[in-house]
Amino acid sequence: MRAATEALVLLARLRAGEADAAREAIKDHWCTGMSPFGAVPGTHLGRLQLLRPPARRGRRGTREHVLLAADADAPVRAWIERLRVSAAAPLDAVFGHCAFYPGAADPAAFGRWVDANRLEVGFSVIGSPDATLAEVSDALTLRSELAAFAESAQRMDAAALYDAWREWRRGR
Amino acid sequence: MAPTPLTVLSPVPRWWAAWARLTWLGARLGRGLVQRPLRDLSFIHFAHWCLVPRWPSDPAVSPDDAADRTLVFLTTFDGSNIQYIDAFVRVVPFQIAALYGGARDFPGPFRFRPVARYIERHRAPVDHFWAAHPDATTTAIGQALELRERFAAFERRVGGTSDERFARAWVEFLTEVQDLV
Repeated sequence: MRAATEALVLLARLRAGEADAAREAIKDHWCTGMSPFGAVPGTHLGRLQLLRPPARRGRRGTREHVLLAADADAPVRAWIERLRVSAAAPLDAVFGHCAFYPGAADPAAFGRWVDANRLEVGFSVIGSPDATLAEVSDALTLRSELAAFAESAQRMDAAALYDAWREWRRGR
Repeated sequence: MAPTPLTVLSPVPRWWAAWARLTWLGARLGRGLVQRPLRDLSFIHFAHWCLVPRWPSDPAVSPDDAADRTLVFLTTFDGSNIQYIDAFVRVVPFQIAALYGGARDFPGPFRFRPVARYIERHRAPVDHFWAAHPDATTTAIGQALELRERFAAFERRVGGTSDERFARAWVEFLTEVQDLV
């Protein structure tokens, strides 16, 4: 069976001397207010970070890269397009400091850039691999509503319980 | 408590990169046998392993000294790094050895402190992290999904029943799912 989620891992090289500006852009555009990940339907988790590759043995000098990773409802190709549309400005603010980034305005160029910079995921462990975000959200809501209903219905007789149940179900 | 993101970068020699790919193929063919003990720990939301065969370059500057092949481990879990590493070392040391045995400077998977030091040295700080349900643990999500399934079955059972039968079925249902609510 196909998993309900798919991972995206993107890695892009920062242009020399632009790491501080990229770090500031992450702070200003991703960490302030609502995360752009939150505006993309189907996003379970997302991360954005600057990282410096490990050096070859005995060497020191490596330059920073940007890594964007997300776990989203499959197919991830559709999620990438939703990300491009809803987070164009925050994407451009950070990846605009990377070599070869074409910007989010042109869907075809952006798609080619994603393909060129995407890392293949070799192996995954997923807590709930068969659940979409909507299913997870619905299940968590049901769980808390059901607990509240069970508590409120504790001392009802059979007729009142069934009436309350039907009322509750109509409200869901 | 919000889940914790962790990113670990491990340089590996060429032969180990080939081996890692083989283990992933084996794990996929094993249909979940490798994933199961890790999923049973019930604190991993998502964990992914990737291989960077060569770090992206910038033609405007001279090549740097980045290691050619790097194993990238991205994970999000409940609890602290310490609990996470401790559980890995206790529960799946052989799987860790199969993945990291050839990684440069990896101290072996059987003792907590050297592994914790290795991860501390090789982790990359996450600048921004977002979770759709930051307050829900992996266990809570798993329980809620199971409850949802059982609830749907319960609803099918009680459709059009009498008050008395519904009340009996409701009590039975609550008893059945008490650990999930």
